[in-house]
Amino acid sequence: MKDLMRIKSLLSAEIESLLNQQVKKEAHSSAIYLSMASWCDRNGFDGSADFFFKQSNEEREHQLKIYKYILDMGGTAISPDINNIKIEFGTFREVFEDALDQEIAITQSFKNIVARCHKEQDYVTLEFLNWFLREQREEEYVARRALELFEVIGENGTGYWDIDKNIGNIKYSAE
Amino acid sequence: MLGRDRFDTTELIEVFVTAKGSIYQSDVENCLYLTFSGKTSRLSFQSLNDLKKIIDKVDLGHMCTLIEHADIEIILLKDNCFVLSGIEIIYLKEILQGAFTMFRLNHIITDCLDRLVIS
Repeated sequence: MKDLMRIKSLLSAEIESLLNQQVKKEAHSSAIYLSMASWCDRNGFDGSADFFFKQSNEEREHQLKIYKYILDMGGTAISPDINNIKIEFGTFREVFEDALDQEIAITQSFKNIVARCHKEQDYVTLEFLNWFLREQREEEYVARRALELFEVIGENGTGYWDIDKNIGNIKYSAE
Repeated sequence: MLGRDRFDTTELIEVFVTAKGSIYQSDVENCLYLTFSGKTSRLSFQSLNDLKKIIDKVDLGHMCTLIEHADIEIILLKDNCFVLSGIEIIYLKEILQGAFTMFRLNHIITDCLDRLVIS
C-alpha cells in the first residue's frame, strides 16, 4: 500500500500545525512592532520608530519564509488572522520591555518546534529551523541591549533623547 | 460522485471500514474512495485531509441547539458536496479518524522498511 500521506507532504500533521502556529506568531510580532513604531513616532522617538519599522519587516520576512517552506514541503500554509494588537504603551521603556518579551516568546516557540522535530526525526525541518535559531540569537541580543540602554544612559534629563539616538546603532556580531 | 459500479474494487486496498461507510485506497490512481451515505466520492489525499479538518471543526453541540434551521451541514469540497445531518457527521468523523490512524500506521511501517539496509 502506497504511503499517500508521505507522498503528499514531507511534514507530519503535528509539525505542519506547529509551523502554521509559528507563522501566526511571526505575523503577530510583525503587527506588534508596527504598533510600537506608531507609538514611538507619535511620541517623537523617531530613531526608535525606524528601529521598530525594520523589526516589523524582519518578522514579516520570517513569516513568509516559514509559510513558503510549508508549501514547498507539500503542506497547507494558513494565512493567519491577527487581532488584539496593543496600541498604547505606558512608557517609552515599556515598549522595549514588551519587545524583549516578544523575542523571548518567539525563541521558546522555536525551541518547542525543534524538540518536536527531534522526536519525529524530521531532520529536514530541523535543518530549516537552524537559520531561525541563529536569527533569534541576534533578535534577543538586540532587544536585551536596547533595554539595557535605559540603565546605561538613564532616563533622566536628555536620557530618552540619547536612548532614541542610539537604538539604531545596536549591532550583533556572532564572531 | 461515482456509483459503485464506476470503479474496480479489485484494485482497491481497504483503509478503514465501519457499518456506515468505508475508505479504500487506489495505488494505481493515487486516490481514495470514500463510500458514505449511499454514494462514493473519489478524493485525493489532500481533499480527504481537507474534509477531515472541516468535519473536525463542526460544532455538533451548536448544530443540535439550532431551532430555526434543520441540523444540516453542507460541505463543499472541490467537485464534491456533502449534505450531512448531525448523526452523519458523527459517523463520518469515525470513518475519517480511523482512516487517518491507518495512514499514520502505514507511514510508520513504510518508514521503518525504508530505513532497512538492503544487502
